[in-house]
Amino acid sequence: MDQRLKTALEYADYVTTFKNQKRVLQETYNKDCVVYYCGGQFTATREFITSILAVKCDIFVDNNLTPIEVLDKEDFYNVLSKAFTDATEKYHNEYQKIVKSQRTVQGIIDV
Amino acid sequence: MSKGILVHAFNNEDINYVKQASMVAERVKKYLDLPTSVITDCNIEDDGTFEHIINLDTPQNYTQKMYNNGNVGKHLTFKNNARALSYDLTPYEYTLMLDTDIIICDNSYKYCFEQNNPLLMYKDAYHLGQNLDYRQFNKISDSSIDFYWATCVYFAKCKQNKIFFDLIKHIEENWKHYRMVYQIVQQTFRNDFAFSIAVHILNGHAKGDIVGKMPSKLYYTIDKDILHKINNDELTFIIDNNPIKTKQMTVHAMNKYSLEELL
Repeated sequence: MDQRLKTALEYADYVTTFKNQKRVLQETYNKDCVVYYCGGQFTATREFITSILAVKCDIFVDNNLTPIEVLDKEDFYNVLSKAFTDATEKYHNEYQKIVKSQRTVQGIIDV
Repeated sequence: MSKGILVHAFNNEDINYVKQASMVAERVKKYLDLPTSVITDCNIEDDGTFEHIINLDTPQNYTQKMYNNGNVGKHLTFKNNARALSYDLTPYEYTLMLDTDIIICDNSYKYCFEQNNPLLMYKDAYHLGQNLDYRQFNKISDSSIDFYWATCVYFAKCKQNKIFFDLIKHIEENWKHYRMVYQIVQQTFRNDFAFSIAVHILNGHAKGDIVGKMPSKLYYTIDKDILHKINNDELTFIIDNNPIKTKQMTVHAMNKYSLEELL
């Protein structure tokens, strides 16, 4: 096989694997941002977290559109805030690992 | 208030479902800290892996199914007729029924037991590869109703769920009729279809919200994909000739041959 074609095909495999791994990390991040609290399911986002203490209402509508009464809003804020921070930092760290890995299929998988 | 996991393990010519069920039980203990019970027609030695071993000797109406291992396939006996009995046979008040080819790598499922909906199922599932058309599992047939996965079902003992599981038994007994009504091409009885039809009927022959959403997403690989490596919570698959590695992500790995090789 022509060396130029071989190199191109190897690089294409690398690009595909990189894309796949980034997608898997993204899915894991989305999952890690989900918090189960008082029987409800909530997704921690910057916007939602900042709104928790700002609005004077103890009822929150969760991901499944079920209204949930949260009696300790401060604890709810802390739990969501921690989940969001941990998930985002983990996503960043794992992404950096694949970016800085050897630029080969095996290099990404070995991370 | 008892709660636990229920698995069905009916071995066939090639596949040792009991071995897979043991893997599920070990992972359930590690990640969910819950007991597991098994419904089986095999003689299983009670070594403490399962909390209850429920022997089911009732004559079954077995079918044949194609089992793929990558690009190689084989028709084997498929004993899938006991799911409808799960409600009657479970020893738990709150049960999460799982397929034996689900590789648990995180604690998402424990949240089933911390919410109030008595019936949870997955409606959507996501293939880990990049080229598969997700829509093949959207409906049970081209012009029919929403698809629900019987792979992973959480149910509480209550009147509604008794009606639900009795209805599934009825659908199974009258499968030829329901297959025609719901325009299902495949002749073999499939639990996913029976559960989906039951959901549709209980919702008043319409879309509805009688079934809640399972926590997290259902990720799967098909039996043409290869499970290459299991390292605690890290799984490596070969999908379309490309490796995909997951970490702390529970996956329904349908290639039972490659799963068994790694157990």
